[in-house]
Amino acid sequence: MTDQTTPKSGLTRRSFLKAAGATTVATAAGAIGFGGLAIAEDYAPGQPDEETIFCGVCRGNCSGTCKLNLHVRDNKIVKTSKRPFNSFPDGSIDRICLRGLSHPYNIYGPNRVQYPMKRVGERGSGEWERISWEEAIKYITDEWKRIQAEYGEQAIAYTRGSGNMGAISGVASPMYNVFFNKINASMIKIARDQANTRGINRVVGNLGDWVLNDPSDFKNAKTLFVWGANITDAQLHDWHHVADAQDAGTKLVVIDPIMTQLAARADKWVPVKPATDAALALSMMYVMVDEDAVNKPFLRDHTCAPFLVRSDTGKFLRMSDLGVEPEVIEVAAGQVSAASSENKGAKVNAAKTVTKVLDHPAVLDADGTVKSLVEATDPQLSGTYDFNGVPCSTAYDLLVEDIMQYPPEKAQDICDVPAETIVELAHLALDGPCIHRLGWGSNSYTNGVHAAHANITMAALTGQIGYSGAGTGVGDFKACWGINAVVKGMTAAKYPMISALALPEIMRTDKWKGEDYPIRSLYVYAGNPVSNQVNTNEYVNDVIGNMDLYVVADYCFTDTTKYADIVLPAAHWFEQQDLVVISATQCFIHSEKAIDPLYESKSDFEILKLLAAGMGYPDLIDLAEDEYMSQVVDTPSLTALGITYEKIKENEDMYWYPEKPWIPWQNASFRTESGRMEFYVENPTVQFDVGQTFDEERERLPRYINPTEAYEGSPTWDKYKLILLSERPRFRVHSMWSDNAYLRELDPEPTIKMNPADAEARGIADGDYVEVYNDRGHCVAKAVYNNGIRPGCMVYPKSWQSHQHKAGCWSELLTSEYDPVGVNESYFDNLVEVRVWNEE
Amino acid sequence: MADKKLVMLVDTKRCIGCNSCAVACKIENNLPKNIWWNRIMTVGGDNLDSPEGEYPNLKMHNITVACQHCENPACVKVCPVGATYKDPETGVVRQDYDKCIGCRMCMSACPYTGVRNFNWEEPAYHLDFAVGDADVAPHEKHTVEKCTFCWHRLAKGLQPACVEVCSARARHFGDANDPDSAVSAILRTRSHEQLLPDEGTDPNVYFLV
Repeated sequence: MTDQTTPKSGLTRRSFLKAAGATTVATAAGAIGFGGLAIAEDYAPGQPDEETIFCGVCRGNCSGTCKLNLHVRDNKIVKTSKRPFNSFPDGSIDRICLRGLSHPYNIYGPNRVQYPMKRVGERGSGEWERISWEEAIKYITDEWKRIQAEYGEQAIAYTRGSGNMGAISGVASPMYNVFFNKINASMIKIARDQANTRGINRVVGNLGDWVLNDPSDFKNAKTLFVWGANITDAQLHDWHHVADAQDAGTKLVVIDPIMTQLAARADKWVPVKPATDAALALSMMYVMVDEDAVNKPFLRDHTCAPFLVRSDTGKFLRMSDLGVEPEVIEVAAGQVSAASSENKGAKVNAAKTVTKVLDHPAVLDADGTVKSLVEATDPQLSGTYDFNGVPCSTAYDLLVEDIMQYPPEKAQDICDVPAETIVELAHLALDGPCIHRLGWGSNSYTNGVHAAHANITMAALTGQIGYSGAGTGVGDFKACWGINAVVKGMTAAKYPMISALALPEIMRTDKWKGEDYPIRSLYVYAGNPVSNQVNTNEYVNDVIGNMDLYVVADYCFTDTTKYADIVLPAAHWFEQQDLVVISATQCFIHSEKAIDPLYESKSDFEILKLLAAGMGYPDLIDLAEDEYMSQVVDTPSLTALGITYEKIKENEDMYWYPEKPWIPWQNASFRTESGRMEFYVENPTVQFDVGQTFDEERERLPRYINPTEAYEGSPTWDKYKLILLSERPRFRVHSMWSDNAYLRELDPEPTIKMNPADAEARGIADGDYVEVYNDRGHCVAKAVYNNGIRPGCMVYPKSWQSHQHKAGCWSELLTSEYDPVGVNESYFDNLVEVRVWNEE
Repeated sequence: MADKKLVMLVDTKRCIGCNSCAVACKIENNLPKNIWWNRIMTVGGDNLDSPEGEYPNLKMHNITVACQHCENPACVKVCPVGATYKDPETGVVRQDYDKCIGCRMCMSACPYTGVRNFNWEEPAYHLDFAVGDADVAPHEKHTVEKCTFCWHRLAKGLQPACVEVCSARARHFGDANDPDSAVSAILRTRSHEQLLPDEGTDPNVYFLV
């Protein structure tokens, strides 16, 4: 470790606190105001150099995308400060945080990749030689040509993390698809935070991967439920909205196994057992049904509750079953989202309209007859129907049957939440309007799809969704709609996307879905998969280990650049211009170039141009950045909102919705086939096709099921008895800022937070170095006692780089098992043990 | 009495201990390595973000600790050369690096351990150029330094850096001698505490509770 010391030294906290008593201080009246303050400059600061200020956007994956003033003196960014949003003249979005403030070190610190490098030692040894850009591009593209000739075009693959929200050089950029589709490469998609998406979107439809009422609407809720979201660390920028809501009288309920700073401020903290959120939500629904307190008009009019379900197929009974010919209509194709969840080449030659088959569900009307949903006057929530000998029940009855398995007295044993608390929570949730903000907690186990499915189903029972103060969803990452993905040069992808979770198996077998599918080269940009993906040893050995050529473009050295055969120096965000189109602010934001790329670095956009030329397509990317940005946002639907690229540049930021605050699902208008909340999933699908099979019946309704590993009695319980959870600490954004010397003075080394009882039982003292281990790997860190950690769990602040650990790294311990429906990395679904580490 | 009584209010209900104010101070004032004028402490257990009590009966809040700019500063009384003094116009406790002889009497006298820093060696930095505001005084060896309430910013009509950056909106700054100021209004309506009131220093930093 470094010689940095913690700034706490010298402070004796207790001595301050025990003597701090309440006082009331009479302030002297009658003095003049603060405004006319004239302070003499009595130390001579010298003549300051001229300072120029640029508009930058901090754009890592905390989702904040805060606007920053970039203060440039003598061609150096000497300071970053918050810059007001023109779209929010009330100042409600102006903000910056400790990471946004410490950029100068990220830019100028010793950890920058300065020039292209070629590996000369063993992979991972960190031994490289400096090469020129010409040599680097020639080496990469010669190898790619050889690999494609030898193994097929698909053998070149590319992937990313979430290190830049830009539309040109970042994760929202179509430019990577322009180039890699041209050479018919394989796109590897990261598998993160998708369980929530699957669980929610299969009920309400797709309005984005993660949508919820804007945080400024929290204050309109009577109660704000926060389920497993560590807002006070991971989304610092949202905390003031929660505090503002509390000031306005909103009750805060935090459901979290860990006492976070947020939980410490809650009106009610519910310390739930990890991975049991689905059981808690289902049991709250039990109370609602049991007390006959559900919102029946909403269920009837806006959900699939009255739909009859065939017991033989599990599908809805449709009018075609009853001999009514379906109607086929053409509807306008949906707008394009800036979300990066698909290959942007998928929109090439996309039809303007799509065909929709109208085969209405059959329901029981009040008169006892079965009718089409559109013809029934009072569809019944309960009832049965015999369809030619096939018994049919309403979807609501099936849901109730499911819910009735979770009485509070039973759920309390699953969740370790007292039955009376479950009843109290149900009453709070009924007394709306309420907002339920789901975080990444329950999403991080293999049962996460069902936790989200349960929560959104509760909104169907209460009807609290789609209006001010009422909603359920995942905050607060939003991608704009209505952009154009088909920029000049875009072609469709020849090969389907591959989930990062499927990659290890492909690399081990050279097969994908049973067919030959060798991959021999991976290009990584805006990401650090070695540090941030699960099961590092598997990734390093099976994925990287089987590559002929592993190329990483980054602005700084990371655990991933360490294994690269070629490292390319990418420019820092502030050394290039870009357009941010994925943002919690829901604004397009233009980020100016403040300084030239340092050393020999180039923007990712420039690097792509060089790679394209090297592969024989020198004219493929031949427009200027501004022209591509214009092509992305100058669309009819955005123009209709008054948004153009020129105006974005002029205003710096432009809000992309017609109304403020944005509230999804207004007027109970959902994006499902029926336009209703379909809590009964007629046709369950997977988040990502990896050739898997799954139990359709299980997916039709929300259930509580055990996670894979993180529960008492799981297959590895005999060896490992601690659930390993992570937090995304405020000192980093994933692995970004991990080498920032300013922040490292505050947070100098990896720690593992332990409940003292668990530590003492293992002979571990506060401050001991400990080895955390399981069958997948190990990691050494300093144990810190923390009474806020649930006994039986440990929490590690994530994404230290391996050189900062005495041994191992956190991601070695994480399972790469995944739920076949969510196809999601399950970061918390791990059991470990821990022991004192005595080695150096 | 000073014309003004510049005070800092920190709302402990809003402060989540994020350290943004500490980092803002560090960069704005180009503080040397390992020097922090403003620090955040968890009020609870002994470690960062660790609550008091036994799971699940826990409580936790944070305090920020910097120079308290006391009405009755212990440091001023002991400084043999007048390097640390109370500005008559604002009430800000100031430190004149040129006069400071490095005797560290002020550090022993100050009951708020750690808010005053001493440069034992030539100040060292993480970067080879000065970051932050161009108008801050250069740091000097064998000199005591501390929070200035961002004197250089006050001169420009700006709020201290820590106040400006607080995304929790937990900090307030202004003239408590002005009954119409925002800080006066808050002090009239919110319960507040000072650190170590028994020391008789009467800090101008108030913690809203």
